[in-house]
Amino acid sequence: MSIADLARRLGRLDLAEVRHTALAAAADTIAGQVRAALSQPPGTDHDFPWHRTGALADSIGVSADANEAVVGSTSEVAHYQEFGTATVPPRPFFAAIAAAGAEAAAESVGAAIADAIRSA
Amino acid sequence: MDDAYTIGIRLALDDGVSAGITAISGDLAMLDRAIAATIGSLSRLTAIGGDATHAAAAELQRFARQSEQLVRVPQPPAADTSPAPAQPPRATDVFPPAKAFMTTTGAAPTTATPQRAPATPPPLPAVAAPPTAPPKLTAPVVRILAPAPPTASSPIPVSTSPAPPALTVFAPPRPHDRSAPPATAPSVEVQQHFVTNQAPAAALPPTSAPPAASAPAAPIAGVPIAPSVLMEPRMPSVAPPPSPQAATGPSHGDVYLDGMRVGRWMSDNLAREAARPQAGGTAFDPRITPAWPGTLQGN
Repeated sequence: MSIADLARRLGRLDLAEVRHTALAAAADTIAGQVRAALSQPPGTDHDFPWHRTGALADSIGVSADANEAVVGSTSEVAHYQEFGTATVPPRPFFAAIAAAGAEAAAESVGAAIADAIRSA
Repeated sequence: MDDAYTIGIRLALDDGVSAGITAISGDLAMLDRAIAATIGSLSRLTAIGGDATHAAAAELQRFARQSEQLVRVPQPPAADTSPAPAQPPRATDVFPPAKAFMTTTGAAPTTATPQRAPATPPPLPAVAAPPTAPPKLTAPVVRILAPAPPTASSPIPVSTSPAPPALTVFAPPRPHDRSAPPATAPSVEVQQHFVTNQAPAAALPPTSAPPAASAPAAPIAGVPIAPSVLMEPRMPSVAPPPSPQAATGPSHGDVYLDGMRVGRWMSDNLAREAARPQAGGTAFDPRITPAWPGTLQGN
């Protein structure tokens, strides 16, 4: 492969799609970890919210594009549990899961982009 | 995108890869163009070099053929014009004694006066016999061997000079001695100048005679000159006038390397001047500073 061919292939490389796919995969992984953290049965000593009805876990969703991805919840209970209220102590689960899985998510996105460049 | 979420985690990607790839692609395209241009230039250079190489190879082959023809042609015997004797030199000739001596080659010892060697056996063209005293061929031949000159390359074994052997004193060449032969081995000589309160001698040896200050001495032909001497300005060979306070003793001198003056030393003089007591002030004198307006002075 000549230098001109390499330049041509690099110019044709579509990294936006690669980034979108990689970010979505990383967000799905983190969302699965969050749902797993919300599966603790009631009555036990817990750091994460108990799994009472499963509505909180079902409210966890993922949205991603080429530049960012969001793992969130549409339930107001998630906000209360994360930051606490006057009567409920805070039990952060998003922050803890994000801190634990951020490095792996970044590595997976970087590996996907490197694979795309290597296979160009 | 996350308007519906009340709380969540945002994974933001700081993409510097795409910009880098774009820049690299441009650089690669430029490099490709440069390589293409270089390949074209190399092709032209190869063509030119090939023509020149072919011409040089043909010329070399022609020279080789000419040299082979010259080698094949039988060379006529060269005339023996060498004045060297046919017989190998004797050990006493190769290593002449340091002192002149006499050897006799004859039937019986004789009391005749020593005669010079006959010119017929090995004539030496360098030394011509005086016309007033032609050599005589007598039965007892007395040969006078003089000490060889100081040239180690080709010692002359036999001297036919009528002059008697004289004592030769070998001394290192002086810088102003233009007739001195170039030294074969480096030699370092230190010449000292003594400063005395007495009047200088009327006649100085020619080696210490100072040249004119306005016209610096030119390098002596045939004498190797140190590169540092050529790069640096030549120092005057005349020493500065001695201080009236100087005592008797070596104050300065010249350093000669292989017949060339390469330096001067005057450590004693400098040490003497440095050892003098101080004659000036050693602290700041506030009396010479300008006075500010309104400053009380005196009382």
